[in-house]
Amino acid sequence: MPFLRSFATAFFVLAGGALASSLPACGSSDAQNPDFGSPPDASIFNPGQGGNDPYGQYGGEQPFVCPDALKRCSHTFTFPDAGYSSVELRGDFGGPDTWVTGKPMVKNGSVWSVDVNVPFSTPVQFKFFVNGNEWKIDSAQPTQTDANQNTNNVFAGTTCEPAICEEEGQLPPGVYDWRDSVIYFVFVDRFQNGNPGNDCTVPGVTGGSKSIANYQGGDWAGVTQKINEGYFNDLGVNTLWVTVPFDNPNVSGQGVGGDTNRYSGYHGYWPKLDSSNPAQLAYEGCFGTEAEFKAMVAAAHQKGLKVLIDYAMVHVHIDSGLWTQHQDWFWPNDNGKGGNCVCGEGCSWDALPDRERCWFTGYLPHWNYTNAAARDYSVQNAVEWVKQTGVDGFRADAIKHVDTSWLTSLRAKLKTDVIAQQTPQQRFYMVGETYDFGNRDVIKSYVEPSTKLDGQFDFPLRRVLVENVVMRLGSMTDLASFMNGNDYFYGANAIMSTFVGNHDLPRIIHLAANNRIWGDNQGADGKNLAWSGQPGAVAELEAYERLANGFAVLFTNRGAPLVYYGDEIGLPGAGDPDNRRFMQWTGLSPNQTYLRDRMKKLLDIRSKHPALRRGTRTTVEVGKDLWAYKRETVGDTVYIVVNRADGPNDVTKLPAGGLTELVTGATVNGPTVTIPPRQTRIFVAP
Amino acid sequence: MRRSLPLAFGLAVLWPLACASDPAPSAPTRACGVTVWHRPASSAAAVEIVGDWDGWKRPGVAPGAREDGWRVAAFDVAPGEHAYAIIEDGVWLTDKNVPMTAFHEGREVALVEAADCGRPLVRVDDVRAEGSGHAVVKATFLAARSGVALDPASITAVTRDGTRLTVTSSAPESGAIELAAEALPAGKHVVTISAKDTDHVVAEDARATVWVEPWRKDPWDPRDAVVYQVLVDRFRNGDGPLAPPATPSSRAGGNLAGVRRAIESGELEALGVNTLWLSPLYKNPEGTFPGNDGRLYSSYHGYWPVASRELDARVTTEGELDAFMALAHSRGLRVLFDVVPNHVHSEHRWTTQHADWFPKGCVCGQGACDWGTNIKTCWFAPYLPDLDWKRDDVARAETAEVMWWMDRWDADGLRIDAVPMMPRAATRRITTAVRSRFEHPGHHPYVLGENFTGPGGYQSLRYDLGPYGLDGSFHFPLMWTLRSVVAEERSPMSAIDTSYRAGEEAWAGSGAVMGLMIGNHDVSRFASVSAGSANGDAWEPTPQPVDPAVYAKQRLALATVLTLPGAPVLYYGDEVGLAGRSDPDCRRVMPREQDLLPAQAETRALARTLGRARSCSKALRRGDVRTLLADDERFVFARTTEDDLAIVVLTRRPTLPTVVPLAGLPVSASDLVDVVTGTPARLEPGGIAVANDPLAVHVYVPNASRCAVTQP
Repeated sequence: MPFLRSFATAFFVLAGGALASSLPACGSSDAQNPDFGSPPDASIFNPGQGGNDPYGQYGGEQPFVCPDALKRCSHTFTFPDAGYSSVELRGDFGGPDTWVTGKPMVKNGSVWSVDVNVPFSTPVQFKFFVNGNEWKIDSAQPTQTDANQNTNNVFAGTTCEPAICEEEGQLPPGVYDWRDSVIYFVFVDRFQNGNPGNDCTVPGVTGGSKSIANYQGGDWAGVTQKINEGYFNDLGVNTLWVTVPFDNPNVSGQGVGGDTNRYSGYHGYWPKLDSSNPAQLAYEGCFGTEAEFKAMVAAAHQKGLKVLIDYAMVHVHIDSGLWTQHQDWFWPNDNGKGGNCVCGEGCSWDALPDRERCWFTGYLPHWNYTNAAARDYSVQNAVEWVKQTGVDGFRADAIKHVDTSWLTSLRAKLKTDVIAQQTPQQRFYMVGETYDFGNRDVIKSYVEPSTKLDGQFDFPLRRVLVENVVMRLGSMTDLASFMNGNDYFYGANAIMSTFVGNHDLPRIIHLAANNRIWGDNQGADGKNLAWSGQPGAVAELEAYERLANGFAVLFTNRGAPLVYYGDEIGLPGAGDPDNRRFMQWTGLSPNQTYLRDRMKKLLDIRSKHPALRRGTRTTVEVGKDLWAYKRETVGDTVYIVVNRADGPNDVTKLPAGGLTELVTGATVNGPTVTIPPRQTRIFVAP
Repeated sequence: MRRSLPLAFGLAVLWPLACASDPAPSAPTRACGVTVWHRPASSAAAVEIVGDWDGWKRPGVAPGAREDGWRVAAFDVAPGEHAYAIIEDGVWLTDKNVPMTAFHEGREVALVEAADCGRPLVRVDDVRAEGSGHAVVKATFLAARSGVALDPASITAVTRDGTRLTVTSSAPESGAIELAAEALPAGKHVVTISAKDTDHVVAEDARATVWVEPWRKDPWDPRDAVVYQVLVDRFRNGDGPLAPPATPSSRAGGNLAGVRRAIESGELEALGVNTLWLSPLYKNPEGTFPGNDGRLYSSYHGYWPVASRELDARVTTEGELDAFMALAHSRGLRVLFDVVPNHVHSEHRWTTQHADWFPKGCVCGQGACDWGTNIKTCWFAPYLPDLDWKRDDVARAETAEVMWWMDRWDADGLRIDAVPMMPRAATRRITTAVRSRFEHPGHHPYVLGENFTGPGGYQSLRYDLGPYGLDGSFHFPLMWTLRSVVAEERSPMSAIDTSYRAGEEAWAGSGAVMGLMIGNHDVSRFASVSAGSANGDAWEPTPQPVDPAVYAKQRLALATVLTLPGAPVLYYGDEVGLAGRSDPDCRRVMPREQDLLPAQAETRALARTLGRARSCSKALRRGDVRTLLADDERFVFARTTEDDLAIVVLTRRPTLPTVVPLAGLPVSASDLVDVVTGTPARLEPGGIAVANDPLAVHVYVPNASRCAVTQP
């Protein structure tokens, strides 16, 4: 044991006689005269936190990339006057709708004209609707006659540089626009206990009956209660993702990988399917009854909320009757080389074909969807969940472990069996989970709204956003640059779900703290503190402000932002399962209230400004700590300025003149406005 | 000296770690043990210090709090490396006040080397040498914990070649030692200073580096460096120019004898070069290995070490390298070795002796193995196992390998490969080892790191720099800017100023001397970017451009890196605008003299003029930068020191003559001469008038300066 010397331990040192005797002989004046020297130079160079350019592989600042499908060019259409009272240009320049409602033309001298943003390098067919009652063509312009002998004028199309980038505008009345969605992830078992009568406890779970790995009593009745109280409407979210509603066995199971703790199926990811009839749905009894589930969906719809269920179709639990009856519907737990096919053991998590076959652990048989009977059963079962419960979409769990044929078959069957029956027809939103912070190509390979997923959780964006805004590594330039290349990376029609927190990562508030438990690693799993030494609430307001900044970026950009329950109040927690503590409903600190109120305000602003939901983004100004950008759609322009620094920062390139700031309600004068530390401000022209 | 301490702690009885048994006026003693300082974010913070000295016992020691906000504790520990962490409010922190870190149970923690206070130490305080070969070395003998003083008769000071320095004075009571030598030949002399105390305890010895350079006024430091980067296999051999290799990735047969010829011929000196960066000389494997593109590559480049303390026989031998270093040093040339601490080749004996040093990683950038997530652990290729620098044994072993290159060959610095692929702890360990062994007042080894970034990668570079980090990194953001501005004319000339200043702002206070280059062995050649012919299959040679504008651009870009602060790094062949797509086409053999186009020779002539102007002009090497004009087509700046000045005019496509404003500069325009044209500056009201020639370079220095004439 070493000899310690410090003020606080001096008595310990004095008490340690054996230690004292080993000391060099010292003069008494020395003993009275401790000299540690001078403290280090506190102004020593601070090397910062590095950049976001691993070995130059991101290629630095990226320009905004507009997908071809959204490119437009301005073109002036003309029509000679012949004494008309009004002329309207109608055609396919804005899709089928602009054949119904066109663009009014303006008379200038003897010519009617109008400027229209037409699709890039695409022919346009059009006609002139005059005096509100008569269709005409201009014989001086090219025409085209279709099979039904309809003759239209035709414009060969044009290109321009730079092209205007414009998303599709408002959808037809009654069709839900998933670009407006803000998702709230309700972890049912951890949210609200509405019916103590259905509470469950599973034996054999690490930590016993009250353990965080055991059922904690939350249920569908509790969620219904919160829906009816208006919690979600009040917060400003409009879509609920609820955990897997399928029946799970009431047994414990050891964790995945090296985790030797034993868990219950409180999360729902161990489906227990017993019936060979895919229309026979098995509801999780610990969360309530079929009636209670349906009541929850109905209550949500009543309040204008969409419902996504977490859909677990990679595997079933080995206690399932289906496994006993149809072992051939599942991949064997055998790698064909004398070993098992558990992911990360005898088989690989990531390499194909293993990734679509390996068992997450020894009690979770992996579906074999290359077997048509298995696939038909599972797809029919999924469609039944939609038909019988009326849910509006799925969150597709661990999709990269699923054979793509399941996804394409499901999409096809939903079209014929569900969507074709609707008036008007809705988009069934499927958002997938591919846990990968870097490989966008793999994530993208599952995204294709007409045949596969509508989108996925945007893990790469999470990484860059959290590193640069919440953790203050790198710079806002890195974030702007990444987002420029990311906005439409997954396709013009994809709707990715953007997020900062979920149930597989330590609670985001810890990454916003002054001192970060897991250092600079945004992707740390936090498992080291999941079972002991769990973190308490983060004390400093700064952390809540930084987290609000992170949400501000999510809520003012494309995608369907996700809020993980509890993140609106900065709930603490290390890795799984500590990141799944029961929702805190009372005794909120002022910091927690600050964060939740700020999120309400930001979501209110998002709901009132279509530009924030479907506008295109242009960076106005960006530097290390400040990012100012504009989002713009027809009739709506909004300026957003995010200051991640711990000091004030000036934005200098806002429009000149009076502006309304929406977060505080203040009126300010552009172009230069000071943004306080760790704050986001949102400006519109009055 | 008594520090004011909080009264509350007045009861504490404390021992200084070095206690003198001598009551007499005591010679200075070594500091030993570990003292940890920490200033927490708040005075209320709970702080504890845990360390390897007691098996990381929790709770650790709570350091004493001082009124100024600092907490401090000291630990008397065994000599050698010690790891510890500061835990503030439950969060583990490294120690911002010490350079090194290590890893404990996955966490990064502080690492220090506690001195062995059982032995005295010799410390070098100052080295001065004159052109005549007269040198004076001052050192101090620091007593062991025992306090026993220096035995003056025990002092020895010997250079590597056996020359003994005279002990001109020694004072046991103060520990002061002064040594002198006369008539040392020009070159570098590494002196080992040894001594004992009167109890015959041998002190840890010291290295004093003495440079005798009759041609140099101020002692060299990295700001003075003009570096020439040689890819040895592609440069020359002992007989002269090389034939192109059989395939772009085969050996061309260049060797160290070829580099030696370039020293002897004076052609490096003619470029103003005073520093050589040689591609790795490690023993590399025979045969070929598949690249990620499926093609077969040989180890011609040297980056595949199969033995980290052996030379590759195809390149050089030990005797030849010794002679080479002596020759280079006698000409004032510093030599930087390229070291590869990130990985070894699978034929390296470590891969079998220490298989656990190389945890299996995915191949960088292949399939799901994205760079962002896997940069620290991924392998460049399946046959290039990546060393796990988080292990103490790996960190110690590989640092020792790198130090062998410094010590065995009297190297003057390093170029560290693949910096961001290792934890920063790796470069911190290496630089700390180099500095503690070789750096002293009057001598600065130069450790450059390769952190390849894209445009705008300033924060990424900043991370490795500072007094605890690298002396410099290659300035990739400026390189990309020069390509965009000069080669492609896509950005305004003012973007050069912006990029340079963005860098200086990002690493302000670090003391870094950045490597400024227009290209290197990993990117397409600047000339081919200018010619618009850099894209395409890098295995198909792109033609050598004939358009004179390509070479004018080359000169403008070279002039920029040769006149801004930093260390210009000339990649072999760039001085003659050698063409090339990306790797491997950017690694062609150095062309023969008779094959050079006139425009290529003209480009080299300008590089020579400016290289020599830089070696001559203190303002160009060490002066501050003041931007005089930065707009779409012009970048004009002054370099100023207290007593020297240079004005650099870089113009791209000016439509009107440029008038360089001189307001505020301590100079009269009539006193300036352009070293490029050899003509005096032309006066106009408001400043110097510069004609509107496209792609032009003018560098003005005071007429009276000896740098005004740079012809050899």
